[in-house]
Amino acid sequence: MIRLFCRVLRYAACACIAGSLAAQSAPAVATRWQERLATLDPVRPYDYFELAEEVADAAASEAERELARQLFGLAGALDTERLGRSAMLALAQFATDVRERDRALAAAEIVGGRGGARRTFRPNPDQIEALARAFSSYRRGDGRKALAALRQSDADALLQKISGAIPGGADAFRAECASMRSSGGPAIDTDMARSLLLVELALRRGDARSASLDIILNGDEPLLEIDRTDPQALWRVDPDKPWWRDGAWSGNGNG
Amino acid sequence: MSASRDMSPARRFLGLDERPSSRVLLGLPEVTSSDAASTLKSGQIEAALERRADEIARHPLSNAPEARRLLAQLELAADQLQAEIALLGKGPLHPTAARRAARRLQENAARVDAKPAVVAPSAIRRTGSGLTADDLTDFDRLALALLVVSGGWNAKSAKRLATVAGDHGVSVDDLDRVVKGLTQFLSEGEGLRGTMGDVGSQARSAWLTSPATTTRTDAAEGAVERVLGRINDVIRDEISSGSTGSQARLAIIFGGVALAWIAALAWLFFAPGPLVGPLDGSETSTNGSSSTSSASSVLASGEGAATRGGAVGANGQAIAPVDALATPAKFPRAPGFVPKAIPLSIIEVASSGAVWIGDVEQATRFIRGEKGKIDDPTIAIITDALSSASEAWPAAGAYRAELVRVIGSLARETRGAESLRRLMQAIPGTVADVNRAGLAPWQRMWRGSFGAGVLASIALDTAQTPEVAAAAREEMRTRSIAIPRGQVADAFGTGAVSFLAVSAKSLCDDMAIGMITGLEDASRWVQAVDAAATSPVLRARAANAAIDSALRCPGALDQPGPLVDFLAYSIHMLDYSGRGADAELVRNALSSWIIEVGIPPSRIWVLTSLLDADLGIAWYGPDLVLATNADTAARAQLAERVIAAFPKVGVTSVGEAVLVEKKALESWQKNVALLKALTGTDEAERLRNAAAALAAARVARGFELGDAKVAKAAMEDMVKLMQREATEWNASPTGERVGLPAAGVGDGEFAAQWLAVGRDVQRRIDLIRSLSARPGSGDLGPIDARVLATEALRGNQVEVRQAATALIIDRYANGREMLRALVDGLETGVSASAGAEFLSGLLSVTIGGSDWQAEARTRLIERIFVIEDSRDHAVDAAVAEMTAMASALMSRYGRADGAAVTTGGRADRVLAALADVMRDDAAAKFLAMPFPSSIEEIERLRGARRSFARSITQRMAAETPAVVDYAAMTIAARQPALQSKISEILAAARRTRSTAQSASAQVADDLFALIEILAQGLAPEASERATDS
Repeated sequence: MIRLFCRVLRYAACACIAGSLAAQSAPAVATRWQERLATLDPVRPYDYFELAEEVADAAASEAERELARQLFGLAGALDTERLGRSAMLALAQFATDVRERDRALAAAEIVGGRGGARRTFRPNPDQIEALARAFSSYRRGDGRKALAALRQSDADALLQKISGAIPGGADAFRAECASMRSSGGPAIDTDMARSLLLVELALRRGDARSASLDIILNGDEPLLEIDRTDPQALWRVDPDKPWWRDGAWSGNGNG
Repeated sequence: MSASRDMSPARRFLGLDERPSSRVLLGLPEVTSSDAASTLKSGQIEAALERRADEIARHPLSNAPEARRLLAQLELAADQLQAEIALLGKGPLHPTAARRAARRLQENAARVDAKPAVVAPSAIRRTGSGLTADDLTDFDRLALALLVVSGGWNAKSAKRLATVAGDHGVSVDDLDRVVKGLTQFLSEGEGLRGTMGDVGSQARSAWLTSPATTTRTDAAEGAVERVLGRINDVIRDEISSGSTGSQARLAIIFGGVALAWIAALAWLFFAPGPLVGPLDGSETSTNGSSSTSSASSVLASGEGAATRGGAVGANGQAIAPVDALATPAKFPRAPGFVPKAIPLSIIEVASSGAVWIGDVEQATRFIRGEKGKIDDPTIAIITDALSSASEAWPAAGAYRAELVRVIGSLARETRGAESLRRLMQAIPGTVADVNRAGLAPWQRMWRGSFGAGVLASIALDTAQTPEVAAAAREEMRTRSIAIPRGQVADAFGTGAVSFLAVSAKSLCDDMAIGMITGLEDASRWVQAVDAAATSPVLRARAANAAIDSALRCPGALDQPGPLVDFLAYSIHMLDYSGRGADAELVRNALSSWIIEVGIPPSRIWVLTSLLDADLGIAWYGPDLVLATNADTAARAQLAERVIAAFPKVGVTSVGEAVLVEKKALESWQKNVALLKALTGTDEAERLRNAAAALAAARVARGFELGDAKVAKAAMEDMVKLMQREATEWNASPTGERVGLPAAGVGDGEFAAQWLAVGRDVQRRIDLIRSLSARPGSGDLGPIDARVLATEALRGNQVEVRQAATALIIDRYANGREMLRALVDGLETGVSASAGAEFLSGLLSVTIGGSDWQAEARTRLIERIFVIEDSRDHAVDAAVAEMTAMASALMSRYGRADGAAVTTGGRADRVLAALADVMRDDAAAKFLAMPFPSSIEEIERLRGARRSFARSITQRMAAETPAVVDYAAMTIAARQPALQSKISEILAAARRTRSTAQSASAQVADDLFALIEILAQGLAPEASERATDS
């Protein structure tokens, strides 16, 4: 019990130190860019964008990257028509996960895109054949052969891409294959067998696949909806506080 | 006069005796020797024929039918002589004679081949008065007999002819032509000369009596004619005899007639009572003048009654318009066209729009530097930029507006009369510019309209100096471009459209005379109008001009061709719903065309038929099609009926609501409430709800169009969708059932026995046959299926393999486990020929080729997928319903053309097409301020959403917000006061989209929002009691 209490104390102390360091780093970053930040004025949104690019290029710490994010956000919020798309594309580079990146790219299109970039998913026929062989081997209970088939024609990459369509995901499939004996009996999980068959059919049909097969393959995830009427949610900054005064963003240019 | 009528044409026109020979008729010397023909040459005969034709042409009666008949006789005589020469083989045939001979052959061939029993008036005219009763078809003879028996063209004969025409399958327009042709035939004296028996031989008594019984008036008409004819003959005989007795009889007759006249006059002037009693039974007036006016008023009313009914027949009597003659025109295919896409080369030119703008801005800087003067290099830059722009401006999109803006800036910087003159002449569309060699008609049109638009934008720009505006106006006057008057919202569009309206006339004329045979120029005209007409009024103005030009140009409208296609397209451009800003313009134009005497009724018949055929004009029915023989009164009546039928929009406190019969509206609202209460737990249910919402939107559209049939059919669809059971949704689309293993037999039994029998062929075959003895077996267990499938695909004992394949085809074609085993057994070591043959037999499709295994896998999995009942089928069925509902809704926006073809039955594409038609509909409405945003912005967002949609349901969800926005735009245009309410609905829809857990939910929620918005535009129609109170 005492040991546990000591461990909690140790973690708490570490957290306090990290917090104080982070607090100290923000002024440090601000000091480095203080002069430039102080000259920013919302009547010249492009200055925010230029400075954001410079900060992003020179960023050596998370605090500097955060500052660059804020500057891009303010540039986009202050002049969405001219700078919105570019700012959002820049913000997509700072995304920490795929979902956030997709959201930023979608938002870039919404704020200023013209729908030029359409993404299509068309796997190579050889990839599909190899993956189909892997599925068949799996259903027959031959995990070793299934894994061998995945290594052919980059089928493993395709498996990873459609991971969401495989019950349990791609990793679970690989793990199950690896756990099978090469001379084992057939896998008789009916739902799994059916799902793999339908995934294969969806891949083979390509763009001509029916809506149900498309849902099996791609799911029914909602289309990202970007609310342009809420700039704070969109840009993750407060556009009413565009002035850098006394080491913080302020709503008053006079300090 | 009688003698004159008896004189033969040869005598009257050429002074020849009766029945002259061919040579005499042609004025050639008579010869007696048998080789006389050798003295003649083909050219001499033709020269003689020409001389005779000249003589006839100089005669005062050269236009009479007799003259034409004589010409035909002369031609016949010439042909006979030419034939003699040809038979003797003397000399070549004169080209004119050869052409005539060829024409006769063609005409004879055409007469033999022609199946439709119709002789068009034009055909009768072509053969001239040489036409005889032999040339008439059976129907012509019958029609002629009816005309003669019925006393000519009158109401009675028209009814009879319409009945007979129906029996013979002759359309009404063809009947009209036949009657005209036969009337002419009769007027030329043919038909009554010895051929009447023949002509009348086909007439059945039923045809003569069935439509109407002969009235006493009809009988009296014939009797009076016969009596007068007899008197005329008697008097003529008495006069011509010249005997004393005749003179005495004539004196008595004329004396009697004179006395009768005197008595009649005396009675007229001195009679005590009025001629006709008052109609209303009031006191009789003793005033002579009042009596006359009463009589005349009675006569006038009688005439009015006759002429009010319709047209004057060929015999001069008033007849009612024949209903059958007003049957809508039919064309082999629906007239109209889809504008051809703008060529890639033009789009490439248009893509350099930024360069034009840059050049003009550069020229502006130069002019500013030169203090308003334009030098040669600067004018060259301007000319090049504007010339390039004028070639592609309809494809330039936003560049065009920007270019017009910078040209305005350029004009503002220009100073001095000379510089301004040079600038104005640098704007494309001058007379010299559009008449340059090598330009296609549409290129002239584009250049001219661009120039007109630019000049108008300068002339009407209040920011320009008076000097500049005056220079632009002067240039417009020079180019004969109408200077827009009054308040103009879009100066460029107004100028360009006024030019395009004028161009429509030349376009129609060129189509009519065959200078233009395709629809490329028409497509370019449409594209220019689409680009220039930013408001519905401008668009309607252009379409009106096009329709007017098509109606007035000389080309045939009742035959398929580019002209009627262009007319149909122009008709389709207009908004007949009565809700657009152009409603009044359209209504007035329609009625003015119908009553315009300068446009023949046959052309209005085509116009009204096309209006009737247009699916987008629900209120226009076949009863509003003008008869081809309509007179002025009938046309005026139709115009009144069209104005009465033109949709009127109820005005409420919040604007123009669509008034709907109260019960129908309540029923719709109740069903919408039920729809919103339906569950949406999975994709299938959500997509079903979306399909039902589209049906509900179609009901609302039916209300808007005032088409009860559409509303009713859509309501039925909606209810059916909501009431369909889950089992129906889940059922296999092919109705097949999954085969089940035999009861009481464990999986693996067969596999164990298979191992036990070893490789003995007969025992293996027996074992396989034992499977077929299992009662009701449609499948095996996974282990047994795997063994049998392996043997069927890879067995090396032929007899055993054949027994296995036969059993599988016979018993296990729908066995899920067996099919799965076959899929997995296809992997390796399968003989291509045997495997493909077996699977072809199993799946009833031909499988072969190098990738037969891939194809076989696909087919086998498809079979597994199809035979099972599952929610996947429910999803596909719901999407199919969505597609059908969206297509049906789209057709109610008048866009049925090839929607199914272009969308390929894909729901996302059908929704995209629906958004397109709704955009077009919304674009035709007038809004002072864009609501909820401009069309460009809605389209931009739509494109952006499409770019990051990855699945079919997401692609649907990318289209539905635009559908909702365009519906909002349309309703707000009609009822601006609803904007705040609609804004709330839109905001709620946005929130729902943001929080939706799936794309299918987003689609369904958007379509619910669509219904909610459409509901705002509907209002219950006031009941009669409410109106009275």
